[in-house]
Amino acid sequence: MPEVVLADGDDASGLASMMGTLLAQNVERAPHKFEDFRRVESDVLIEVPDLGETITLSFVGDRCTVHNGSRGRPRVRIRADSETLMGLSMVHIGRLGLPNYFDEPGRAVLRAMRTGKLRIGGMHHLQTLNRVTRLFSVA
Amino acid sequence: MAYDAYSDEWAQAYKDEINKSQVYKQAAAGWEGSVGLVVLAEPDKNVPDDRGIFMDLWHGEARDIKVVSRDEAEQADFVITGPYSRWKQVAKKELDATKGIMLGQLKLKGDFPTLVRYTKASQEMTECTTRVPVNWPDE
Repeated sequence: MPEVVLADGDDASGLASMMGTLLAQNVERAPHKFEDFRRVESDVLIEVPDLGETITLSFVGDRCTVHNGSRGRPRVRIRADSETLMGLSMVHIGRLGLPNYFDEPGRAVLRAMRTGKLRIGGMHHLQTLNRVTRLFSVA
Repeated sequence: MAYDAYSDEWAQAYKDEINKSQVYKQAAAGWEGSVGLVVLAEPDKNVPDDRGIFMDLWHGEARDIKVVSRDEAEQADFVITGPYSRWKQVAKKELDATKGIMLGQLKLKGDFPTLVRYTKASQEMTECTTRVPVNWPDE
């Protein structure tokens, strides 16, 4: 069973705590996401400038450790304002397991990329990016 | 007419404001569940005791909103807790509730994936709060 741990415990930032809880509950309610969880096997950085917060999700096997700040060498780096970050979780996953960028939530993400509200580093690690998108999708 | 903060009359006015909102009706059309708001005491701001607000929300309608004890509010399906001064900031549009949660200034208990799906409804509920004139105990 995948496990999500806050590296900083009670000192975890609000963003770390929220994203950690969201990830844990999302995987718990959708066991088909277990495989994605296990296969990320890398660090993912999330930076939210309007909150002044950065967190790193370190996926190793069945465990994801959420750190305050930047850690390790993230394979994927997501920089988005808080509203856009919530919007990313609204992306629907299509029949082939790929994010759907053709409906309204998907188009909103593309607009955010065009306008610079969303920047993604490491886009060539498409599988990792798609796995992370699926893990956080609540749609 | 302004209402005393977190009084029965304020709760009724807040409920009426939510039920007048077409935006909320649409955004929360599928919502089922109660929400509890816990306002933590700040004696130096003339709020000597913790207070609770229990909101019975169902498919885009506020069926009931009442001022209750902290314990009763904590029985809701979703509970958001914060000190009085944070809630005042939310009501004055100085702090977005979602950002407050992401910053750890407000604590959320409940199913995050569901709440993320209803971010727009939550934002409109905050808008409704700002439309209810309030007599603040520390002003």
